[in-house]
Amino acid sequence: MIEELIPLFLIRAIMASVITSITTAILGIYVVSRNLSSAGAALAHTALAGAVLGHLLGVDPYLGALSMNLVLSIVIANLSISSTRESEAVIGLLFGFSTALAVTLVSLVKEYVVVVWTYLIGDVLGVTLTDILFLASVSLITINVLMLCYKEFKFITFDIEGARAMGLNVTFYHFLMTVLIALVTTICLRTVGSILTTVLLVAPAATARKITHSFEKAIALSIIVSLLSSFMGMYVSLQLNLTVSGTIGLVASLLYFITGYIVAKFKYCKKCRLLIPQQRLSLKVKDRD
Amino acid sequence: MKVIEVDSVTVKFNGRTALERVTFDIVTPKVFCIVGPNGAGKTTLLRTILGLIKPVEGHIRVLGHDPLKEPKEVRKLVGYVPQRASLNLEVPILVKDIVLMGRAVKRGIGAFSKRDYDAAKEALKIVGLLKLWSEPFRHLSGGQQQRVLLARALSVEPTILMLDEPFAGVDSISRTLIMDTLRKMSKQGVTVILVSHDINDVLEIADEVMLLNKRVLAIGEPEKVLKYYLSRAISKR
Repeated sequence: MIEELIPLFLIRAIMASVITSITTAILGIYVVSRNLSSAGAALAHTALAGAVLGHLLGVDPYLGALSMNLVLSIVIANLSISSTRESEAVIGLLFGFSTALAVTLVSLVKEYVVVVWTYLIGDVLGVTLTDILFLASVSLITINVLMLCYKEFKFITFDIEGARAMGLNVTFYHFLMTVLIALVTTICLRTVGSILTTVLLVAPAATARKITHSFEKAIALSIIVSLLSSFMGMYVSLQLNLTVSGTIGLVASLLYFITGYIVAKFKYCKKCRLLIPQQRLSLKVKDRD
Repeated sequence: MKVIEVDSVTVKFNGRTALERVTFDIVTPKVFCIVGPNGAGKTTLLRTILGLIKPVEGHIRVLGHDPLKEPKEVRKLVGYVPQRASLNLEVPILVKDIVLMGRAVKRGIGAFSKRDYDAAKEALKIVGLLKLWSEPFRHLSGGQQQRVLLARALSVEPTILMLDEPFAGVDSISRTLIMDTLRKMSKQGVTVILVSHDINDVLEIADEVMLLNKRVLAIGEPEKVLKYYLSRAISKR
C-alpha cells in the first residue's frame, strides 16, 4: 500500500537516512565536545581510502574501509589521549595524509569512477535492503555501547584528568570511543559518503550545543537537527535534482549558522516565553535598575 | 597504619627532574597542605601518589596499598578535586551530572541507583549548593564551580580527599565555605591533602604544611614553616 504512494527506493533512503542521522548525531556530541572533529574527518577519509583499496585488491570495499579505519583509530586514540598541541597537529596531519592517500588511490581506479564517486559523496537513493540491515546492526551496536557507557563517556568528556584520578579506565573508554567513530564513519560511506560524514558528525552536535546546557538535551536536539537536515536535504535535492548528500550537508551547515546568529542576537525570555533581541533585553534590565 | 607514606620518591620527565627524593608521612587524618611555586611538582606529587605517574625511584604506600600495583584499591579511597583549568567547559553539563560523576566509578557499568542520587544530593548539600542541582555548570561563579567539584569528590565517600589549587579564582564566601567543609571532613576522619601555590591560602586551615620545590624544603606546623618561608624570602632579597 505504502509502496504505491512512495517508491521503494525512497522508503529505503528514508530508513537509511534516519539510522545514519540518529547514530552520527549521538556520537557527534562526544566528537564535538572532545575536540575530536579532526579525528572524525581523518577517519572518514581513511574509510574512503580503505574502500578504494578494497576495490583495487578485489576485497569487499566495506571490509577494506573498516580494516584501515580500525588501524587508524588506534593510532588516533594513542595520539589524542594526551591532547597536547603536538598530538593535535599530528591528527591534523593524519587528516591530510588520509585525504592524500584516498585521492592517490582513486586516481588508480579509472574503470570504477562511478563506484568511487559513490563512496565519496554517498548514494542514499541507491541503498539496498542488505545495506540497511548492515547499517542498522552497526548503529544498534554503537548506540547500545554509548548508552551502556554513558556516564563514563560523559565523565571523560568533561574531566579526563579527574576521571583518571578517580579510578576510571580512561584509556579503555577513549579507545572504545575512537573505534566507534571508525565504525560509524565506515557505515556512513554508503549513505552520505566520506566527505559528508564529517558534516553530519559535527554540524548537528555543534548546533545543539549552542542551544542547550544539558548533555541529555544536547543529544536529543542533535538528533532532531540531524533528522531535520536529512529530510530537508533529501526533499530539496529531489525537488531541484541535486546531490542528496551535498544538500543534506548544506542544510546541516546552514542550520548551524542560523542557530549561531539567533543565539548571538536573541535571548529567550522566561517570563514572556519569547525570543527577545539581546539589545532590548539589556535596555529592560537598565530600566529596572 | 600510616595514611600516606612517601619514601625517597624521584620523578623525571624526559630526563628532567620533576621531584627529587621526596619523603614524608601522613600518620593520622589531618589537613596536610603542599605549598610551592608553579612548576614545583605539586600536581605531579598528587598524581604519583594516585599511581598515575611511575617514579624512577622510591616507593609510596596509601593505607598500606602500593598505588602502582593496586591502583584500583588506592583510587577507591580517594576523592579528587582537579584544577578548574583542566576541565572541558565546552561540554553542556548540569551540576547534578558532575556530582553524580563521583558515583560513576563506584557503580560500574549501568544506570545510577537511588542511593547514588541520595549520596550526590547529600554531597551537594554539604557544600551548600543543593538548590543549584539542575543548573548549568557554566552559569556558576568560579567559587560555586569549585564547590561543585568538591561535592563530586565527597560523593565518593572518600577516606582521602585531594584538592589541587582549590582556592584559585575563588571568591571569599566560597573560600570560607570550602575551608569549613574541609575542616568538618578532617574531624570526621578524612585525610585532606591540599595543594596551593600561596602559603597564605592554607595557613588558616592546615594542620601540617610541606614546602615543595622539586624537593622538600620544609615540613611541619604552619607557623614554623611560615617562619622558614619568610626567612628564605628575606634572604633571597
